[in-house]
Amino acid sequence: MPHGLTLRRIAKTVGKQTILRDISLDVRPGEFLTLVGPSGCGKSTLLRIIAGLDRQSSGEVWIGGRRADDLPPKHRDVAMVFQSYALYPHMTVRANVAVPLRMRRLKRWQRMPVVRSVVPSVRREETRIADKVDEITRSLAIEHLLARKPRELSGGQRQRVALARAMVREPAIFLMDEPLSNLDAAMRIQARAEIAQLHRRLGVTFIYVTHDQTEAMTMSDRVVVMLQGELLQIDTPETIYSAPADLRVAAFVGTPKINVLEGQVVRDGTLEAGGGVFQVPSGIAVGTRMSVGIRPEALKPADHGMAARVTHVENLGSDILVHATLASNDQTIIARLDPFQTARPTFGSEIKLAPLMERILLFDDAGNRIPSTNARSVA
Amino acid sequence: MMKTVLRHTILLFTGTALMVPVVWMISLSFKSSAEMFLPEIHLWPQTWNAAENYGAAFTKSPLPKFLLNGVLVCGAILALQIAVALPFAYALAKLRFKGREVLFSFVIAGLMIPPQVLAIPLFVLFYQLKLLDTFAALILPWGASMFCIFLLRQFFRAVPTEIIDAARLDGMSELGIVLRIMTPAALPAIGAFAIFSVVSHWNDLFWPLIMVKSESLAMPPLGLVFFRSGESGTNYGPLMAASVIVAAPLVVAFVFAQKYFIEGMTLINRR
Amino acid sequence: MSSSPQALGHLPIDGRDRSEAATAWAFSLPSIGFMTVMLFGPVLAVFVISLTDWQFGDPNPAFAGLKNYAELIADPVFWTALFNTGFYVGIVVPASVFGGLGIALLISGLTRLGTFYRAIHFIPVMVTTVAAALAWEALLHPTIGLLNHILRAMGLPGHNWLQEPALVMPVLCVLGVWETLGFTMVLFLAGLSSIPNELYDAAAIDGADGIWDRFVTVTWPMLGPVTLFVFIVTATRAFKVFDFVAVLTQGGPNKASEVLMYTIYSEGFLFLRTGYASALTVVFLAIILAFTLVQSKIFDKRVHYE
Repeated sequence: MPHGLTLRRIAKTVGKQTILRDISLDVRPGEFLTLVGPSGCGKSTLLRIIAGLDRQSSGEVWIGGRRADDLPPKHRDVAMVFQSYALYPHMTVRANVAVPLRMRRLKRWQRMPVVRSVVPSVRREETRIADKVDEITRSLAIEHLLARKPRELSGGQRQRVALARAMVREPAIFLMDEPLSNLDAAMRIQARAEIAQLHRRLGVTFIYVTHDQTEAMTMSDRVVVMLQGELLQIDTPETIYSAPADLRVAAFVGTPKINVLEGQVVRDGTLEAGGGVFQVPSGIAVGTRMSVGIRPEALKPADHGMAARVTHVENLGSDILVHATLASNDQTIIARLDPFQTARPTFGSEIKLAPLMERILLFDDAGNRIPSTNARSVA
Repeated sequence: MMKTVLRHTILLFTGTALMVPVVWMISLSFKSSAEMFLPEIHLWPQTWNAAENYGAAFTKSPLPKFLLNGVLVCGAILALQIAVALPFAYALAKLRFKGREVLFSFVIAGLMIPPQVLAIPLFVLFYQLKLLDTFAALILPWGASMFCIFLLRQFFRAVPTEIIDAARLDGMSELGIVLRIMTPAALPAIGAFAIFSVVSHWNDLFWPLIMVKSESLAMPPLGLVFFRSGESGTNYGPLMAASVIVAAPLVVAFVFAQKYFIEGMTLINRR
Repeated sequence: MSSSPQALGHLPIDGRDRSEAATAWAFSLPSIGFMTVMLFGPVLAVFVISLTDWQFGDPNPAFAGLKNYAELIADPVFWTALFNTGFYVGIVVPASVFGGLGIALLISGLTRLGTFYRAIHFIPVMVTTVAAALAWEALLHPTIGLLNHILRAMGLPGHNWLQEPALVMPVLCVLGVWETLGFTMVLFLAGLSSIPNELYDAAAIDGADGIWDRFVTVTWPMLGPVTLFVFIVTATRAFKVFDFVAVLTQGGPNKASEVLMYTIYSEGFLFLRTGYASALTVVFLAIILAFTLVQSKIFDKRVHYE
């Protein structure tokens, strides 16, 4: 039975440092929500606060409609997969996966070594626990590893054991702290798909923390972009990409990074930036500074456009990335071209690049996005 | 909250209990012998006799000589151990030669032999060489420290071989490599070992006891034993003063460099 | 000149290999010299001398076979010494290991006062044993000692702690624990600090968040290697006990505090019975080696997690 999660104005300071500022969000039951941001943005701290491992300085945590602030982790109905998996090194896989069940179902005296093999009721419970462990490990295809110790397993296998240990609790919320960062590139792609499939299968709320925007964009129902303890935007991946609320969000998501041109309003409704002319909503004072964000795939070579000289060409096979220096301000921009539709530019050549006007993003001086008035704008 | 109070209470209790003999040693060193025989006991001396006690400690016996011996002998032992170990550890770690593994297994075997086992034969040897009751008898037996060799070899192995190859290409001699590349790389280990070596040899009673019988060659612990047999009766004042003087250098150094001392004295951990 | 690729840094020139080996042997010579004369030579010598009837100063020692060992087995002093040493080890080792573990558990995690507590518990380890022995002697003095003074003030009888046969070994054990507690504590502190915090987090989520559960699920298992190591190191140290006995009791009263190392000392250097003392030394070495070998066997087998 999945639970929703509500955070109200969560803040955390340690000494003089503010780690989290005024974070509020609602997670729907069964949703896959990712907290994404660069290292140090506070996402892991937020996850630990949700889990109950750290206490917030102010604000409330509500799990499944109940106030959870004073509940210890074991009573919050959450399970967590750690970055380094945190498997108990001295226990076999079977023992590792069984720990949460044994802690929950057996009292301390029942867990003592002699008791558990002698007292009938305890033995029955241990059998039930063993069956559950078998079931879960079979569903993750690791039942052949039950007798091994963590040091004998590969990274991918350890991750599945960590998942099994989390799943065996049948939690209402699954928490994952950068679970893929210790895997190599090939394993990562496979694990990404497996975690997404797991989410579909279990239907449980997943809260996933990562610094990798690819993971965030490909796996989530919604993404929370965090920076320096602040929640910048919470939206679907598509919206985050095409309608970022903030220049920082726009710069964080998307590879290669979005091109940002700074410019000024020269006439009502017109902005000049980077050697190009852009339409802006009327009513903005002349002289106002604004920024234009253009994603690399929204730049095309054209007869009329911003003048630039090509400084570097990367042929990826499926795309061509062109690095060019703008004539107007010597700024380097990157354009992503389709090799089947345009000829490959040569190093040093002069080209003109024109943006697809319906794809440009406008930002004010403070970095907030302004809905543009272009046709078919996605704002 | 309760847990914290309990924690600190226990720690203060055990800490105080452990410090009682040390504090008592210092306290007695300040007292006059008349006061010690009084029926009541106070921690703080009623009569301040420190000057006489410490004065007596320094003058009634060659305590300064004992301390000087300690410094010289420990220094000499350390210098010898490092000088002998450095090139050997380098050879074991980085040079290729037949017999390297055999030699290293001897080092491992040597680690397991407690020095007390060697007392009798070495005594006989130094007797034959007419070197008993000399500084040589105190220093030479410790020349090759298996510990030092083992530790340095471990550190040296971690130095990338490319650095050594680059040095060779630059024309550096092998001895130069040992002194100018390997030694700086292993300074932490040398530092920790130095503490280990100095502490164990400064505090050693057994070895000077069997090798030396002249007061002029005594190391600090042996000096204390001589002091006690020299002092008449139970004149604890000067005796405790002498004890404090002998124990103080290491304890004071420890308090100021705790981290290093602990690392040095738990060096055996580095297996 | 072969055309196959050579390992990096290894020039396929015979002369270079030979000069490298020559340098290596030159570098090894001092160590080999010391190791032969000061270490392995003497070890062999001890075995050889133990098979003679040599009294020191005797110009013609004669081969005596296993006579010394026979005498050793029949010698009640030897068995007393062995028993006393075993008693000492049997008390001092568990007490200082578990005591040290307890103190380490209490100290670990404390930031500011942690250094202070660590220092005062470790100082007894640093203090020169002879100096400490003399201080203890003053403390345990039957008439002017602090301990008896306190006991009498509480209405309890004082004792002659170092002169009563039934009391002297237990008292020496207390001194031994006093001197060793800080040492084990420091080893455990290092072990505790190497336990990854994430394991405690995982345990908390799994439901093991009380003091006992955390200890049983994470702390104690992760300390496995360290604990075993501490046991063996402390046991070998305790087995070599000498200073306290030499300074305070000289094995008395009436051999009540005779320990193996002191027996070796008195037989070899006071009575100058070199052959017999060598036999005792061989036995001593055998027991120490047994300790050390037990360590390598168990250490490698059971408790390796990496």
